[in-house]
Amino acid sequence: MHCLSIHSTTLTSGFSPLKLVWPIALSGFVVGCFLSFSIVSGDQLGRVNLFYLLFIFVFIPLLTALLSMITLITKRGISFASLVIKLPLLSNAQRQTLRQMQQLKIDRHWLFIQGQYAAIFYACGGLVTFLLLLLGSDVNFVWRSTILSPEDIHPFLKWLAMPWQFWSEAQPDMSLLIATQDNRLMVPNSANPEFSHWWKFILATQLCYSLLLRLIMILPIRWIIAQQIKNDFEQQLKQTINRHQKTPSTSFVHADIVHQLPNELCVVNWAEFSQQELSNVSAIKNFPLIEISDLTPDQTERSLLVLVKAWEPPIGELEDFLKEHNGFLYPIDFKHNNVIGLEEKDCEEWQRFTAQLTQWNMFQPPFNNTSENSSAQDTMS
Amino acid sequence: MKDSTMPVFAVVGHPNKGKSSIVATLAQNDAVAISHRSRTTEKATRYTISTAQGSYDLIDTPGFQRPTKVLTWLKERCGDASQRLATLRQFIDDPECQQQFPDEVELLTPIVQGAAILYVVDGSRPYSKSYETEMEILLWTGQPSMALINPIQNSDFVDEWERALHQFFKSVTVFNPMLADHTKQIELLDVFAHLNSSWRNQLEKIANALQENFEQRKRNSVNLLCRLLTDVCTHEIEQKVLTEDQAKTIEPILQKRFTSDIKQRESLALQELLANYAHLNTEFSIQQLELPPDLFDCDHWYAWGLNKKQLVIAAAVAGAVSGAAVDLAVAGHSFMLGAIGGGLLGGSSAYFASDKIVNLKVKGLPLGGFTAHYGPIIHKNFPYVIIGRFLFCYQQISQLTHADRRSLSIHATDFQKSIEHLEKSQQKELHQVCAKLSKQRIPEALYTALMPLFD
Repeated sequence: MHCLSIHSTTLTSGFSPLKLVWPIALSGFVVGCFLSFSIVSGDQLGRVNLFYLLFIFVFIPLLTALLSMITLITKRGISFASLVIKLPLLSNAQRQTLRQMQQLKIDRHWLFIQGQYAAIFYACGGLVTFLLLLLGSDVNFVWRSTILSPEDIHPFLKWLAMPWQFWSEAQPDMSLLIATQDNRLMVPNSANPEFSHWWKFILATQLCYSLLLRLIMILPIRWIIAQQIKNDFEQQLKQTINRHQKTPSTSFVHADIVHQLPNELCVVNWAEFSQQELSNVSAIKNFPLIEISDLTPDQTERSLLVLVKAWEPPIGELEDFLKEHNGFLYPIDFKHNNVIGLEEKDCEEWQRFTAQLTQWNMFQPPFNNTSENSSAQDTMS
Repeated sequence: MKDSTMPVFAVVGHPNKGKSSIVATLAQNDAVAISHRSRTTEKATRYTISTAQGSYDLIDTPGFQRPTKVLTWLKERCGDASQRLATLRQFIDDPECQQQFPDEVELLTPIVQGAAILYVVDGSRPYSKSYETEMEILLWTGQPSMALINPIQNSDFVDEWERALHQFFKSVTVFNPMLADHTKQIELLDVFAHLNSSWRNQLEKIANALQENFEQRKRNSVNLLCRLLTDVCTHEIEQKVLTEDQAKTIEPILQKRFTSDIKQRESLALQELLANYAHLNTEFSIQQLELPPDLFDCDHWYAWGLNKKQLVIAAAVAGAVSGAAVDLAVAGHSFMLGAIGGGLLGGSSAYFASDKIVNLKVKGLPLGGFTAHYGPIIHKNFPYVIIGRFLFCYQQISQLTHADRRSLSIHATDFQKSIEHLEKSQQKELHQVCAKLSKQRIPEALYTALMPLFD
């Protein structure tokens, strides 16, 4: 039995940009190797034109760096990386990530970085080939020109070598320049050891203009990508969702409701209901009604039936009063002066309140004639 | 340390009259605790409403619990009106009062410190004299104040309340935190601006910034839909297997996974839409999206997991690169024939030899096999369905206030009416982008085509 794992693009996972696309890097490396080999291998006498080397190790890298910068800034132009990813070689997951990068508006930056990787691998290919040929072959660096003299070239080479002024051996030297000028009509002087002295200068140009420049170019763009992802509204929303913690719900104790009252009670009109309203409250008709101010010490020992407005939540003043007495709380709701059943939320509120008072019960008459009442009764039961 | 010029409003009133609801709606914060239970708010809690143009504070306070006793305490210690504020300070600083009247100390402290008063009452229940004690205490503070009538269940007693409240407050406004959309919220902020002239400029700027925030949220919503559409319309899953039978066997697994992916992606988009409007506690349920049938497909793959087209292209590129290397090695004397020839040779070899490669085995493992695909959905109505569902949610969520804590239920919806409201050119643009999406192409004009649906 086969155990299968299904590979699919995750539509809901967090975003991380595509990593290095190896075909791009490999292509850069191969081109670097072959270009370097074709130039550095030189002619039958191992002579290599210094200008050709500057072409592939300085001119091409600088030109392509400039082009990729222009492409990035102007959002136009064709980059090597964009051509490669247009080939239908990417997997579903990679295509999905590419689409996400377009959504995040970092696709150009990513392509730019891929271009820099291609250039870095191009430089590595060139460097490896160059060093291998230096090791395994006699490379004679010469230069030829019909119209340029050593005096014309030297300032340009000095300017090129400015970034590695600390490395004196890799600096272009006027005497070396004069000594390595070549002319194909002249008999080659293969015994001249100075022909090989340019290698440090060439190596430094590769390191500086091919390798270091691209590494430096990658850093700010990587930072821009990171910032872009961080500032993207959807990423921020995702972070907000992930950070959010739901508050646990709390539960409360509800007092039971009694539907029967004892025979002896004093009614206290805490809610200050009007006489008209009170006349509609049938449950209190058999009991004497007293004002709070009229409560005498002996009455405080008797059980009270305290009338309250069902829709007004219990407040501290009522609680203070109830703590000094005992009896029944009777929340009443009216509609057009008629007593109606309590709303569920009001009923629960009074049940919670009564549950905190040890000497008190919540009273409600047994309603059964309206739908509101019956719903209240359901809740109560 | 808070800026003393920053507008501060203390929301006060009787318990359970919707103070926290008003704070939640105005602060656009669904973390503000709201419940039918009184004393949900036990401590004064400050919520800062920050915008790019400035900020203001709302203080959610506990309700009055012992107003009669407090007023008696104050009257006993106050000679005349000039001493009222000092007496209130004495009240909030008194350790005994802090113990006896903790709720009143909590609610009066920010007012004594300079906050304006927003007194909240319930317009669905009758006015009673007992409220006058609370309002009298608030008058003692001498702070700018206004009353907000919150019609919690209905507006039956709003007129009665208005008549009473006008005796104590210059400004009385009906404000329902459950229904107040952003326009009403901004209108209320305009009323606040008139309470204290030194805050007016700042509050007007904040109102403008809140309007801009609302527009930004709308733009974000459109972008969320763009991303959702792009993702679900191009989504496909695949699995490489050795035989065609195996491919068919896993079809139900792929179908389940595909359906789950689409559902999860849609849920994520809705969660993000809720978060975009700062609704982090709102729960929602989505009606299952019905996907079209026949999304399963199976085709050959060849070496290295590449299908025939990919293999031919890869071989052609490899051949062209090798040929180009030869061209370089001979310093271009081959006139690029190496690259052209290499490309042709690589491509054609892969094309003709691919059927043989599929049967080759290396150490007993075959080089080729089959790929079972599920998706993408090419049904032309699919983008419309996704848009319709999202739009339905947007309409609910963008109007949902932060006091409204009900859970949302998302149903499939026909958004034909929304389309009918669009201009002909907008309808055409929408149809064009949907047609492209159903062909798994990402239209550049997606955002502009969807935007009118959100207006």
